Amino acid sequence: MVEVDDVANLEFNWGKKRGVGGKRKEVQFYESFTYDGVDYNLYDSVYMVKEGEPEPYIGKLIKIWESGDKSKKVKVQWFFQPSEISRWLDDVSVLENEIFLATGEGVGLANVNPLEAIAGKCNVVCTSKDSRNHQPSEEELKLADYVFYRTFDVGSCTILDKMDDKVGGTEVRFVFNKKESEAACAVPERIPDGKDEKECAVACNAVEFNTLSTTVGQPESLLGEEVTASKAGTVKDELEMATDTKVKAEKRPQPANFHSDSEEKPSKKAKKDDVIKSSVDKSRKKLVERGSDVKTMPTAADVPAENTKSGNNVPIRQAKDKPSKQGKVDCPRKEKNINNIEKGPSNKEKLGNKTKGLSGGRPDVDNSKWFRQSPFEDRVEIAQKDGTILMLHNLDPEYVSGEVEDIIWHALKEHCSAKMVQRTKISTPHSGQAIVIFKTRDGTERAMTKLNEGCLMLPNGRPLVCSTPSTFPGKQSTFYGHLVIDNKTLGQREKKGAVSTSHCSQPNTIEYDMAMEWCLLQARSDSWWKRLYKKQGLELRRLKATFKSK
Amino acid sequence: MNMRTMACGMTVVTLHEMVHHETMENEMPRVQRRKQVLLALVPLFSFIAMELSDEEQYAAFKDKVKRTVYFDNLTPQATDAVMKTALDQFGNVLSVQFIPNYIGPSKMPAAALVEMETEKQAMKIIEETEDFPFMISGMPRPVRAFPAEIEMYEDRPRKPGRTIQCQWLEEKDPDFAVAQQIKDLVKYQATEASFMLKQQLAEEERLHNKHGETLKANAKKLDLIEKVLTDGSARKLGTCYNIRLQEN
Repeated sequence: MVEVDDVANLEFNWGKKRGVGGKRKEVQFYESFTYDGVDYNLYDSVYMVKEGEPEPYIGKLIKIWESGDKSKKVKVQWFFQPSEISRWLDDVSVLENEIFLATGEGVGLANVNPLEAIAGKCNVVCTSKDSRNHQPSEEELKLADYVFYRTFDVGSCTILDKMDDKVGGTEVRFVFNKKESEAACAVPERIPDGKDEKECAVACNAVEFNTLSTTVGQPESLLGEEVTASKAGTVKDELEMATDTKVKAEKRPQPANFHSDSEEKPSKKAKKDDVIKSSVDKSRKKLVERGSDVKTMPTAADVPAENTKSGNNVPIRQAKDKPSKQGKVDCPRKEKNINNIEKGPSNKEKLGNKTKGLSGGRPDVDNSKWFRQSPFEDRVEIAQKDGTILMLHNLDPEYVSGEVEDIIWHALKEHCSAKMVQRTKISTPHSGQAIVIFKTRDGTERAMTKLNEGCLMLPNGRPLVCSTPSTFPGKQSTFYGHLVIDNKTLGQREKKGAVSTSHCSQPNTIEYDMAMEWCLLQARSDSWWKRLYKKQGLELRRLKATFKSK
Repeated sequence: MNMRTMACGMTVVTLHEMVHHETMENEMPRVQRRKQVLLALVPLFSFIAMELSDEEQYAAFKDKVKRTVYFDNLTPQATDAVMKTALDQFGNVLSVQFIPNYIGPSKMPAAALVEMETEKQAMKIIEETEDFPFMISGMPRPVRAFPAEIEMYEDRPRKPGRTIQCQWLEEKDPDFAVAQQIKDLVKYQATEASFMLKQQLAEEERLHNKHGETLKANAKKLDLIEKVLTDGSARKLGTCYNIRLQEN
C-alpha cells in the first residue's frame, strides 16, 4: 500500500476549466484532470478506495473542483453493487456484472470526496434499452467492467427500470453512453472563466431535455440565450432551482449546501460511518462464493510480479481521506456530457472518405472450394515448410474466417485461406488472431512487407498486425495432472471410487485433496489472465485515445 | 421476385443433392447442411436468398451456442467417445468438437465444445462441475466447464449485417505513428500472453510432480502399514506397550 506521502507525489494536472464559484470566487471548477497518468473527465466512472473495504466503491464524477485551500475535491454519484442492496433486491435477478446507479433523494446518492481517493477508471457501460441511450456495441460490452440499466432509489429503496430526464439530479444523457461522435470531444467547449458556473446550471435547467441526439454544441448556444434570462439570484438560489427538478416528481427544494461543499466541508468520516451502516447493507463479502472455497482463494499475492502494475483496476493506493459513500447528500447539479466509456476516437468519418466496404465480396476464383480440402492442420504443416503462412493479430475477435479472407483480398489483392484462431478461456479478448495460408511464397512476403511497413486500419482503431508464426505445436504431447497409481494397495483403494472413465471426486480421498489443489491452481491462473488482459486493455485504450482523427 | 426466389431455390436443391452425394464430414442436421450449401451459392444469387437465410442461420447458431458447454483442462486421451460417455449422465450429447491448438505450446491441455440437447442440460453440467471436481479419463486433475461463446466455434456463421471497412493509412497521416505504436503494443502483448502461458504450464508441471511425490509417499506408507500388520510386528509391539490391537 502506498502511503499518504506518496499520494502527494503522484502526477497530477488540471484539465479544462469550467467556471468559478463560492462567495469570493475562490472555487475553481474543472471538467477534466490527469491523475497518475490517467485522464479523467466529468461523468467518468471511477473506483474509489476506502480503507477497510475489500472492494472499491464505484461512482460517477459529477463535479470536480479545487477549493480555496487548494484541496481537490470530486463529487461522485454512487453505483451500488448488488451485494450492497441485497436486502431490497429480493428475487430480482441480477446480471453477473450489473450495478445500480443511485437515484432519488437521501443518504447514499452522492458525496463529496477528496480527489486523491480515486483509484482508477472504471469502465461502466449503460445497457438501457432506452431510445436515448447510445446502444453499446458487443465489443464495448465485452470490455466493460460493469454494466447498468437500472437505478436504485436511495429514498424509497426500490429498484427502478426506467430513467427519467434526471437521475439523482444528473441529466440522463450523462448517465447514458456517449455517442461515438461525442466520444472524441467528450466535454463540450465551455465559455472560459468569465462565465459563472451558475449559468450552466440554469441553462441546463431551462432547456427541455432533448434526447441524446442533441449535438454537443447545442447546450452551448442555448447557454448564451438563457444566461440573460437568469440574471436574478445568487449561485445558491439557482442551484436550488436546479435541485428542485429531481427524478421524483415532488418538487421539494433541498437546502443547497453547495457553498459549504466547496469552501470548508471536506468529507467527514464521522458522519458517514454511522449513517451508512444503517442504510446500506454491508454484505460485500457475501458475494457468490459457490463451489469449493478453494476456488475463491486467489489473492493479489498469488499473482506474478509482472502483473501487479498499476494498470490494473485493482486499487493500489490509499488516499489520505477515504471516500465516504454515505453521509450528506449534496445538492445535485447537472452538467453536459456523458462519459462512461473511455474510448478512442472513432475512425468512422475518416474512413468514410476513402475506404472500401468489404461487403462486395471477392471473386471466388478458388474453385477448389467445391471439393473437400485436406484438413487445415495438414495444410498448416505444409505451408509452414513452404513459408506461405502468416499470423494476423489485432482483428476483431468476432470476425469469421471468411471475413479475414475478404480483408486480405481487398487490402492486398492476394488469395488466401484463413482461419480465425478459436477462442479458449485463456485467449485475449482484445485481439483476434488468424492463421492465413497464402498461395505462393512471394505473395506471403509481399503481404508481410506491406502490412509491416504500411498500416492497414480496420474498424474501431485496429491496425492489422502480422507476424511469422513460430512452429506449430502439432499433436498434444504431455499432459500434466493425471497420475497412474502403480501401487497395489493404494490402487485398490482409489479404484473403489473411480469406477468409470469419468467421475466426481468424493471429499475423503487423497484424490480429492489433489483435485482441490488443481482447482486452486486453475483459479489462480484465471486471476492472472484476468489481470493481464485488464492491464492490456487499459494500455490499448490509452493508446487509442491518442488518435488524432475521429 | 417470387419467381426468382423459386428459381433460385430449385437450383439450390439440385446442387444440394450433388453435394450431398459427396461425403461431408460434419454432423450437422440435414436442414442446416442445406443452408450451408445455400450460403456457398450466395455469391451467385446475391440479393435474394441472402438476408433471410443469414438471419435464420445465425439465430439457429446462437441457439446451438447456448446449449453447448466448453471444456478445458482435458487430457489428449479424451476422445469423442470418452467425452460422450462421461457426459451421458447429464443428458443427450449431440456433438463433440475439439478446439485445435494452433498457437500454444504442445503441452497445452485440450479444450472441447460439447453440444447438449437442451440448454438446461448444459447448465446442469456447468453447475455440477463447479460444485465437484469432475475428472475425465484420469485423476486427479479435474476438468472445467463453462458456457460456450460464439468465438469458440470454428464454423461460426458471419454475423448478419456486418460490413467491415479497411483502409491503408498514409505515412504522412497524423495517425500513422499512433497506429504503428498500437501494432508494436499488440505484438508485445502477444508475447506477454505467451510468457504467461509458459509460466502457467510450468506451475502445472510443478504441481504434477509434487502430486507424484505425494502419491509415492502415501503408497509407501500404506505398504509399510500392511507389512507391519501382516508380519506380526504390530502385534509384537502391541504386547510390548500393553496395547490391545483389534483385528479387522
